[in-house]
Amino acid sequence: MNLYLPRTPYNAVDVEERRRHLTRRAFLERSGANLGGIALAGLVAGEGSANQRTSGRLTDGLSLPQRAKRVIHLCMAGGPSHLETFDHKPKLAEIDGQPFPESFTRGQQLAQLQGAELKARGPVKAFQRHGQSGQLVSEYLPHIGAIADDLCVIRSMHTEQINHDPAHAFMNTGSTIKGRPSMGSWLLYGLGAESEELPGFVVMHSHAGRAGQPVSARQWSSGFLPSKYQGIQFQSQGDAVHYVGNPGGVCQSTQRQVIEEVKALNGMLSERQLDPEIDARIAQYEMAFRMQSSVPELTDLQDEPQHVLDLYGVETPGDGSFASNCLLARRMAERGVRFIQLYHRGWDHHNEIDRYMGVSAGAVDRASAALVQDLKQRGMLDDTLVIWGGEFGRTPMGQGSGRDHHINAFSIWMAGGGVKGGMSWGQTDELGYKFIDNDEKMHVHDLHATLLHLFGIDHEKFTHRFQGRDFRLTDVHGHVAKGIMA
Amino acid sequence: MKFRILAITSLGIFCSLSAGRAGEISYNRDVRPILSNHCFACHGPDENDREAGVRLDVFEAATAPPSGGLDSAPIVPGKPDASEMIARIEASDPADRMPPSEFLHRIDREEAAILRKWIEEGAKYEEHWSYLPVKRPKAPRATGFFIRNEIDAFVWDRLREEGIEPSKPAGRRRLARRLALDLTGLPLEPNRLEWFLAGNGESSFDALVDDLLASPHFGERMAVPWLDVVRFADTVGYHGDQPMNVFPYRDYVINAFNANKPFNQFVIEQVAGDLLENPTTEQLVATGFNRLNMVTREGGAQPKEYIAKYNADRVRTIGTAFLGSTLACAECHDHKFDPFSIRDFYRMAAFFADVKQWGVYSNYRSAPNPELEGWTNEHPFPPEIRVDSPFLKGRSAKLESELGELLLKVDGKPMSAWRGEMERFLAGSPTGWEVAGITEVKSSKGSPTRLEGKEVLVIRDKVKMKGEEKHAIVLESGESSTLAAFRIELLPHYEHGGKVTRNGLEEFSLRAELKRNGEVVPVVFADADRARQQYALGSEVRNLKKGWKSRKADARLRHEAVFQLRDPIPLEANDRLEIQISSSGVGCLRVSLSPIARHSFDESPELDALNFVSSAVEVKEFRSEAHRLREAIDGLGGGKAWTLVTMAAEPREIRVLPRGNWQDDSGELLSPGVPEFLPPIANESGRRLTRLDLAHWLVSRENPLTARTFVNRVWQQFFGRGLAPVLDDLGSQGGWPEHGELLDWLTAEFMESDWDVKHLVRTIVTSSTYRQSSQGSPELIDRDPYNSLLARQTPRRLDAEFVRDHALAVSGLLNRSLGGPSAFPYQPPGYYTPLNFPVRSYEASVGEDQYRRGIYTHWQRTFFHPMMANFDAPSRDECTAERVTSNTPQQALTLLNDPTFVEAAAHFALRAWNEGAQTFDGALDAMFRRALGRPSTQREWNRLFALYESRRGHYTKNDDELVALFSAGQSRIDPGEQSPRLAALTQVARVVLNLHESITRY
Repeated sequence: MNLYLPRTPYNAVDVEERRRHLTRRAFLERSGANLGGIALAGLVAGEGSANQRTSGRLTDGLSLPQRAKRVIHLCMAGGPSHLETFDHKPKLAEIDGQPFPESFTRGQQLAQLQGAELKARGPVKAFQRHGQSGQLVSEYLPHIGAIADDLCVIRSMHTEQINHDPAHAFMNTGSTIKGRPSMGSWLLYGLGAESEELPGFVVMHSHAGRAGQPVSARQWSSGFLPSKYQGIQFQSQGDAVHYVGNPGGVCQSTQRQVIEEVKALNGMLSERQLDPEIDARIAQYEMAFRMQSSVPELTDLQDEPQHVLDLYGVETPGDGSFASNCLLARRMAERGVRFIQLYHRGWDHHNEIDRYMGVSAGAVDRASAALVQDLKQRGMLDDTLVIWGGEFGRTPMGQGSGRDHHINAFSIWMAGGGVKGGMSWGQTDELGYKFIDNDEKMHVHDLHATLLHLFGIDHEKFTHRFQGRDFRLTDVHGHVAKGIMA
Repeated sequence: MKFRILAITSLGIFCSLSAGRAGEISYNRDVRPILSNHCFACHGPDENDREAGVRLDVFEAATAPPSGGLDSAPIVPGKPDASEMIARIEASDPADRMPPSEFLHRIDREEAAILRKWIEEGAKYEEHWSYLPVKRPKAPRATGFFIRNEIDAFVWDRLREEGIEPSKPAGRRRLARRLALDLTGLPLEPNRLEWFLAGNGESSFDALVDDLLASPHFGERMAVPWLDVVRFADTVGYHGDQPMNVFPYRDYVINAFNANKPFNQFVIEQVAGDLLENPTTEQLVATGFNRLNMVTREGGAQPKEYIAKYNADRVRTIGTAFLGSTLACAECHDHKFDPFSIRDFYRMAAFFADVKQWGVYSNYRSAPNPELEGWTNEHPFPPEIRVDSPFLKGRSAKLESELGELLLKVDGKPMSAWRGEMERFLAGSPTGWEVAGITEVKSSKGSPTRLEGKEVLVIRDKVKMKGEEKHAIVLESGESSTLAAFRIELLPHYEHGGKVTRNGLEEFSLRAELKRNGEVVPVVFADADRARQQYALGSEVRNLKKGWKSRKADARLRHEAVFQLRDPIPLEANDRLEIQISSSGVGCLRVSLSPIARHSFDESPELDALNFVSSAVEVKEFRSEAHRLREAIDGLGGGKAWTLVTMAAEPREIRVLPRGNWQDDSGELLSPGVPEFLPPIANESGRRLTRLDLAHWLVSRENPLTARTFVNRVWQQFFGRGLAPVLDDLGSQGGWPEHGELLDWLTAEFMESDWDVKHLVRTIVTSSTYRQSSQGSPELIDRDPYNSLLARQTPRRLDAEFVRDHALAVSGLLNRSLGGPSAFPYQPPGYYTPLNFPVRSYEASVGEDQYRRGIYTHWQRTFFHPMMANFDAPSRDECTAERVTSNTPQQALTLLNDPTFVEAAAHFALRAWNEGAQTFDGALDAMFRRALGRPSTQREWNRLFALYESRRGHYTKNDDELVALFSAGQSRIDPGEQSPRLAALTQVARVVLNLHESITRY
């Protein structure tokens, strides 16, 4: 099983890997070792000599069964309230407006509520039971409620970072130190891409409602992994991918010929000069040319029938709305993009939470549910993992007419990709303040461990050496939530 | 001998290479990597995480009599069979075997054999090479054509041992191109290349090196890696990622390299320039270094948490930039591989406890910072100082002279007539202002007003009113028949308790608009004598564009603001003149009118040419151009710029944060100190050490790390790899320098030459080692894939900045001016959409600013320029000592389609066409010589000629494509009849700019 060698031409051209490959080969030949006897992974991963700058140690990291092949992460940026989405807290409603019990909050970190008087705020909207599983979902999210039997709702999420920027970094990289790879980059690094014509890790944005918290490009950075593993941001304005369109006054035939000549002259150089980078460069121009047609084909939604547009609630295809992005995400999944991340900004409901919940939920509810249904209809849900959630939750204490940031509890859901539907995982206390500390608690590191597990990767064995240390997505933490696996 | 081969095989890379090296096992080269990799994590320096009390990184502990559950000492020198470590490594029972299976590390047979042999030979430990004092080793005795200096002697000696020949010298064309790109980041001008080729080998080489070292572009080239290390950027990085004012620091770095400032002084000025006696402005600018960490202004962020982040960032930077050490690891626990303790980490942080900085740069209820009361996302990030910028001064002088020349064109005759008229007016109104009578006032919210005399308006509220109120004030026109400016005075009034504000308010805001017969008359300049400074993206807003706002402290003082009209207006007797003010808090005001333009409050009514152009109704020529220049000159602030600096304040308390947890106050309180295992700072009196002590310590002759780290990085610039292979880790895990003696020799030479950077660079580039061909042979590459032995040069793709510079330089577009504010290259639209607080838009620089070198690119940390990102520039969130070099389709797309490169190609084609006597052959030759430093081969000519012919036909038929092609970027090229030819040649130029050879230095 040649799982370890990424199947994209990206791989063939990375100079570090080529050198490692060369070195390893030389080593094997000289030492007389039997090639077949050594895990192929070693070829990619190198042997971890201290003389090498970058040497991954994937040795046994991919020995597990692979349930999911790709991820669509619907990132609700700003931090949706768990109390208005998936975590039903009648007790909190009972003490609405009363002082929040100090026993919960003493010595805890707060954000904007630091130093303020703390009062309980009951849930703004009622919850309904849905489907055979009877899962409770807020009335803000009727469409998501309708697919409750496909969802694994995790209510015991918790994180360590209380401000947006570091919390996103933590959610993506498991660390707040800059320069660490994001989970999409890790996956791409470990598994390679499935598409030769599209980037393996794509990021899109949309926004509705309250002021959108900024989301930095470092959230999809490959950090210390080679930059080919970084997320590529698709734009809703201009070219979908930077510089993917031909320049003005250059038609397709001219562009094709220019690229041909670049390749031909590089080929001549390669005859004179021993430099593996030249062949790599030639391959990149071929790939670039393919991207120039495959990206527009991907983003052209004209061939999507009206009923599909309606299912997602797409008003104007390609308008940069969350609905349009969800539809694009499905097309990317079909075309083999490994990690798709849709940021939807506007969930930072410090004030007027009742109004803004309506706006935010209204913008994502139908399309999120449609994506899961559409994938299911196409038989893709089994190996596509959809994750829906923010970087943290919101306080059960009120902040004016809204809620503040909260790290001790929040809710997300997953669907497909080898995760059981129609189930709940983890709980919070009666007021939704803190996760219950049992086997079903889910720290961000645990989420990462579980995610990698679904891809057949042992999170403890999947490492990359940087600055003399073997780094993992999960650092030295992480427990796999086996109970949610189908 | 069989054993020897086994042993080195485990080292992976240098198998047969090392076979020639006789002698013992070396602890540092052979043993430490094995122990460090497999054992130290649990049996190393971290005393809080040491399994079974066994410590293997120091001789005394490793050979100590058994303790705990051990049968014998881990290591018994000379007796591998009696050593518990060997027994455990070789144990057949997995339960006894080390490392334990859950650690996922395995010691293979070869490694075990090395350890055995080492113990047999006495288990001699050596201190880690980079922590030993730098002694100058004697260069090996060597003679011959290859030996130009000591570098060659070391390299030659080692290669001889290995039985390898060095490579031939690179061809002179390649060598010249390599030198120019390595020393200036720019290609050599063709005439300079021809001069070099025609010259005598050795002396013209030296002359070329001298030339390039003396070029101002040397400083720009050397600054790029330095800016990575100090994490230089134009924005703060966290959350709203607002701009910070800091470009003078970049100028400082460029100037320092150009002036060959001794490196020790360079370091001292940056770390502690403010603590020097009577620091110069330049030394203060240098301290921007301590302010380049990412900071936040996010609401809800806790100052204490962010101060902890900033502290840790500074320690990491000192560690990576100067000590070549991964100090970051000691933030939460003692270092696992190197002898840094968690106390060392926080003692280092304590040196910076005096740096004046706010955890959160605003005054929020959740983060009270009274000093920053009223600060918004548009404000700068203090402390800052205002300094001369030669670049801005030059630009200001240029604009002044343009304005002067423009005004020389003004017709003298009507001007003297105007002057006569104005002199008569001034005889009656010497200030140039006529106070206007008020005939009528309307309040939008109905607050009562009354007039004192005809001219002074007093506003009173019965109840305290919220928000703005509008007053429409109808004026009598005065004596003058034209109006060029008006003035609003706010007067302290007894009814308002002697303040200019009403109802007990302390501050006012005001916007004013002039209407004639109901139509708004636009204002071009506005200025107030007293105002609260308004900001937009960290820069001062001029011309009261964000309104006129006062300061509390000025509430009892008279205020005035002058407004100059964009175009002066004639006044007729029955014109209805009205001033509408939107204000809050204004209590008493008076309005004056003037026929003479005034663009600042303290100007006297000059009757000069500029004011003539601005004041005389009938003169329309030159006015908007004069105003444009005037505004641009004003915007340059006299050629001064704000820049972040370090200002010392009362030191904050620094504690060990257990597990790095900022909320845990239980840790030990620490004072500044350097890592305990390194040479100490002499401090007999026991006073608190300062950043200045740290700075001197960093560059003391005894410090083993700073000079080694820097020399190693500089070496990397010229060979693609450091002598020690990991630039940011000279520690235990960082890898063995195959040419360690050479590194030490160069380091000693560097320090003893008074830290002379140009001398260091000259020594490197004049060596035969540097001048070797980068060609290599398959055998050589196979034997030494990383080129650790230096039997050849290494091809290197240009860094992102220089990929840009190269294209602009060969095309003739490059703006070669030095220093100054950041520029904005073309950028795809919408890229900043996910940014907020405030929302950002991107406007590409216009005119020559568009073609500035890559080093001046605006560095938006959260969304740095896609061209830069695609070519592996780091975001500079964190100190970065080494860039990765990738090879991706995004790079191809950038070179093919980014308007910068398309525009450059068009200009390149045009330039080559003219240089090549308007023939294809001539043009192609010019292109190749400029971009590749060589003529084309016949095969290249054949293909490119075919491309040219085919595209010439295409563009002749499809002439509708021409305009778009020649309008890339801001250019509008019109080659007329030659268009199809030049369009075709532009495609040839695109090919040349896209060649791997163009962006690689061989």
